[in-house]
Amino acid sequence: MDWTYDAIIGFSNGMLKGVELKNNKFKYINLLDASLTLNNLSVYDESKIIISSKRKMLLFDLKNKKMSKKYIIRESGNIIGVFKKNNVLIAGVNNGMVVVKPIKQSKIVSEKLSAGSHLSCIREVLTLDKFATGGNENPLKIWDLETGKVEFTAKSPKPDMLQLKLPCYVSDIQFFNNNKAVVSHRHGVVDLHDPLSSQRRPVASCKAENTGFVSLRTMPDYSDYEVIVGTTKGNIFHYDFRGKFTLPVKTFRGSTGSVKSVSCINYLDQMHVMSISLDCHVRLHNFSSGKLTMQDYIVGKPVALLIKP
Amino acid sequence: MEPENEVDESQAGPELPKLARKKPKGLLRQEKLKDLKNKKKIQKRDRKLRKASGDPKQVPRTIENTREPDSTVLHSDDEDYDQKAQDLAAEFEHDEFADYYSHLYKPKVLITYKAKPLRKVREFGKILTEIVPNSVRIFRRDASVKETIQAAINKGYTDLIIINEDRNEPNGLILVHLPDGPTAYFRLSNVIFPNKRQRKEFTDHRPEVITTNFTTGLGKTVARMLGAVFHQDAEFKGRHVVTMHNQRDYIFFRHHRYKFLKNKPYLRELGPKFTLRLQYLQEGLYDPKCGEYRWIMTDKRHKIETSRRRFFL
Repeated sequence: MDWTYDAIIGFSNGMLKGVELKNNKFKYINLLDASLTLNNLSVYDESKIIISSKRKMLLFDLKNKKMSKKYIIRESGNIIGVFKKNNVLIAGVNNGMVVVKPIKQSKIVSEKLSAGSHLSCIREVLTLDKFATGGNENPLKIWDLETGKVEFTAKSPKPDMLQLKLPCYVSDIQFFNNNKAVVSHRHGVVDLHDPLSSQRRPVASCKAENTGFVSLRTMPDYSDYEVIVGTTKGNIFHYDFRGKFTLPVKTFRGSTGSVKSVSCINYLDQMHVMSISLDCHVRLHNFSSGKLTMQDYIVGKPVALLIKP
Repeated sequence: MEPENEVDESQAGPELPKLARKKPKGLLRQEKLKDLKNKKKIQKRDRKLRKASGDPKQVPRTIENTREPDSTVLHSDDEDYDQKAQDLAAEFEHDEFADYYSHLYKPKVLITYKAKPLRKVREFGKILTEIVPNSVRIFRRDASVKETIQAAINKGYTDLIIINEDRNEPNGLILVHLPDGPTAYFRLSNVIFPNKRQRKEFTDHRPEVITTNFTTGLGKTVARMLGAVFHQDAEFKGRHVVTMHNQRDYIFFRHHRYKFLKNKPYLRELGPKFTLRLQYLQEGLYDPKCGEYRWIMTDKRHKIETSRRRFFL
């Protein structure tokens, strides 16, 4: 196991930093210097992570701090998300294509799937061989990896009381342990979809006014109903889909910029919420009390946050 | 107090008049003046003593030098100052303005107004076009801001300024760096137009640009953004200076012509004068609904402005 860090932060200028939480302080270790424009980070295996940069996917070895392999996709557009599943790399490109690239045999031509225009998010379902996509005016789709076909398509949101069309802009997707999907929208809506039921509209939904949601995370082995979301204006909300109320259970305050990524982390045997925001800060909130435990200035503009798996 | 009073009454017997006779007003004023005079005398004496003792001069307490410490201001005696300074340099090498500051392109600026501008705002735009080199002003008619941005990108503009007005008074300024952000919205106030004499002294030379007193991380970004509107190579023959000075989060815009007489600089104000106050800085192009903010004050001013000694630029 080479993950000696509690978390890894990726910056927009290509810098990578490992973060350790020690004695109420963040300790940083430089992994990679600024060189390329970084779009996304994801876990490859125990000692490697995938860095996506424009049209390239790079494997980064955490042990000797070097790039080990490089994959290039032939698409016009930037990669918005990558993940590894069953010896295949799956990358979503923002022109709407999903590229399936086998890792070992480089000669085999990679498969391509069209997932509709303006793709903005692609996520894997951890327990099954499936993945989900979504984007601007492109509601949630759940795909089967083997057949390459759509299994579930969400309906676009219900028109309002004046029968006017409501916008739909998926920003992030996550899955609960019971395979229900949570979708956060840029227009301030979080939806809970049940792919097994016949209902294509959301089973439950929560709303916030005057903000949009950027990042989303489900609680790790906590419950199948709770979720934390980061907003464009710097709040982190904790939502619960049980019950009738659509207001947040809790708010984690402190940030003045858009929350790029949130995650749950165990620190001092207590659940904490770790977040990076565009005002160049890392923050750690206590989950049960909601108070800010630590924050630090990290100079660069952070893009992605990876927590030790 | 009450128990004491009771004791007094029992001991003193007859009650004293509650209020002493009021002093005449003139007497009061005289006393006050006397006090003041004494006070000044003491102050003068103290000053003399301090001067004689040769102690270093005392620094007055101002809001600026007692401002709340900000984590994004780098001090050279910090623990990890070197690392942070290095990171900041790396950040500036790769941000949106890196191309401008490494002389890769020359800025081309488009200035527009709100949909139907009135006379005063048109006049303001006209003066701005005279100051900002290589700038064009147009009426955007009923085109939306997003459409204007797209059109400007297609025509190769690098910055876009949109001036808003309220009751014939310019009150807002949107500054968009093209082609991929960021967007800043400033509140515009105290616009003072140049008078006839000052307008006569305007020339076509490219001015020198000075941005001062931006200390925090956000402030540096804003300063870079404002600086990137102007041309990099100034024409020193014109002897024009544009100053953007930050003081307590207000950015003061001044335009001067300078002159050296007997090795002493002399300034002559050319105008216009106005003040900018940052309302938000947004990542990417103008998108008020779905856009991500790097820093925002609207809607949460009371949460942000916790103290009057806290500044963000």
